[in-house]
Amino acid sequence: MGQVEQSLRLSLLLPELALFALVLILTGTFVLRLKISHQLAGYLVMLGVLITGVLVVMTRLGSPDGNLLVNDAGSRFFKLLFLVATFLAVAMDMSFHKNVSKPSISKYSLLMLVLLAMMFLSMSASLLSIYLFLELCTISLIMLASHQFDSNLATKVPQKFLVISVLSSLLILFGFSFLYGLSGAADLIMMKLQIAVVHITQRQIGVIILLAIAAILSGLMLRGGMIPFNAWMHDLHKNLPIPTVALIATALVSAVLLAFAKIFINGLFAFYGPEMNPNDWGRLVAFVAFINIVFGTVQMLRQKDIMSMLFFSNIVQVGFILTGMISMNQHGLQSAGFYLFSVMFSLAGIYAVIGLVRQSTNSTNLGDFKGLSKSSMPLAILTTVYLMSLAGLPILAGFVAKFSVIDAALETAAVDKLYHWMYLLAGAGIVCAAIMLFKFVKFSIALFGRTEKSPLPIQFPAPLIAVFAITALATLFFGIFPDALLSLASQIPQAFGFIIE
Amino acid sequence: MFYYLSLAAALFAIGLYGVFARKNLPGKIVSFFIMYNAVILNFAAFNRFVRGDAPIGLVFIVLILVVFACQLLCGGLLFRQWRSQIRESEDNSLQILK
Repeated sequence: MGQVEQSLRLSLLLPELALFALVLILTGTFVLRLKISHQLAGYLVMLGVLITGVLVVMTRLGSPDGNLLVNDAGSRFFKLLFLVATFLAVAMDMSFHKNVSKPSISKYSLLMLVLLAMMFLSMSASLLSIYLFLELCTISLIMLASHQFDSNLATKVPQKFLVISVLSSLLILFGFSFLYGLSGAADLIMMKLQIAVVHITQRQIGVIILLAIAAILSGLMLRGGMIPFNAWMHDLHKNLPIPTVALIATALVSAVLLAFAKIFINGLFAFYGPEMNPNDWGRLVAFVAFINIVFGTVQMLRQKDIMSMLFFSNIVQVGFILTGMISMNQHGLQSAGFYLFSVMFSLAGIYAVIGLVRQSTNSTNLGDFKGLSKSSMPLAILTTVYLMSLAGLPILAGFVAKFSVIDAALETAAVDKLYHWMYLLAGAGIVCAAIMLFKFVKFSIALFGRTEKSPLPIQFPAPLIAVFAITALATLFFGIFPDALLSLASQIPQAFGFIIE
Repeated sequence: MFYYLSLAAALFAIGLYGVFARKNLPGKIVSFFIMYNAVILNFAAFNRFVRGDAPIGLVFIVLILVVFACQLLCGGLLFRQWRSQIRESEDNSLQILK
């Protein structure tokens, strides 16, 4: 009987086990120095990711080990998000791979380790597992970043990445130690209950809880490269190869936001709301979201390089997602999930375009994109679609995402007078989205403008055509029929314990 | 417990100051050591005084040590890569001069 139960529990980890087998195969191939072409390795990894995706959908829900990991509907949503992001990054890497001297197998095994860590992170239900898998994900990403450099100058970037990640890990741990001290438990549900009980019975934990909230929040902000800790992430965006940047911008940021949601929305639920002042983390995170939206937009307007412009646009998107999360209602979490998924498609698409242009021009200045339609009309149209979606133009997925996030914030603001500050956040979101739209429309017009330069020799490799097809279709489809993705995202609030109407 | 927590907070603050004040990598690593000690002391103190059914604080400490070892290993690899690239570029410069 015990063995049957054991095998049933192991079956809940089938996607992760399949992915781990793929990591072992890739590592074994690398260690044994078997020669596999870059293309073959890429297709093998893409196949592995696809099989894992099917297994994720087929695996039933439940807890494989008790309280460290829980495979709920919310974790399934995030697993699919990470799988799609990795699939697109691998397809991009196959198209932009230039350095044939370095084996791609080791790179792909690191990439799969990042994915594995993120999949486990999505199932984490304890401070222990959140810390472990966040670290595993970051360390693998650092090694991946260091793998792709040849120049002396560039190796400084992974070093900086490592220093920042150690610092953020220490800040998070410092906060975790206080949460553990207050609750005597590490799993989030127990922690939520114990801290609430201690708060009600003793009421002397104000300073400790404030310290824990500040330490964890600053650690996560540092890891996610949010304002004001954005400088190192900006360096990464400018120096790393395009597929890795796409993975960091989509998957790593999603992982950090997921960790935030698990710790704050799940674990520190009792300390949300103005009545918890000064320990209310809601207003603190709202302030973070506000500065990300406002300063991200201001900085974005000043940029002359498309990578920098997109980096600050990503910061604004993070601000919007945080707005959805701190709305703390069913629609808020649902819209945050929708936002993460839809932005991922637009970002992957635009990074693929940048990679193609960079291959021809070796530069990412905004001026190099002027008259892109002369080189390739489909590429100019695709760029416009992705940018308009990121800015939130109607009939594209980005519009539904922004609209639902702002709607959720307004819903919370209308609950009570104490929550009226959410109006300010929603207002800032609307104004900054309009400014972003203005900037992107101006850039898109330049794409179709006249230029004296000769057309760029642009070629579309097969994997890249797949990236463009998936991202463009998803951006349009989820904009016109958002219900498909919204119903999938509605499982997130359920997993966080919100009552579904 | 107050004394343990105060010591941990002081160590953490000193380490944090060191991370920002020191410009070189070894200085930063020493500061990280101090901060890790502070965190471990916090977990040990909480495990001793307020632990629940299981010694989770000790599990945390073991995990922290393992992750720190991985981070050091990762740092060592990056340093080796950086040094070999510096050597390579110096060799190239010498070849050009010849």
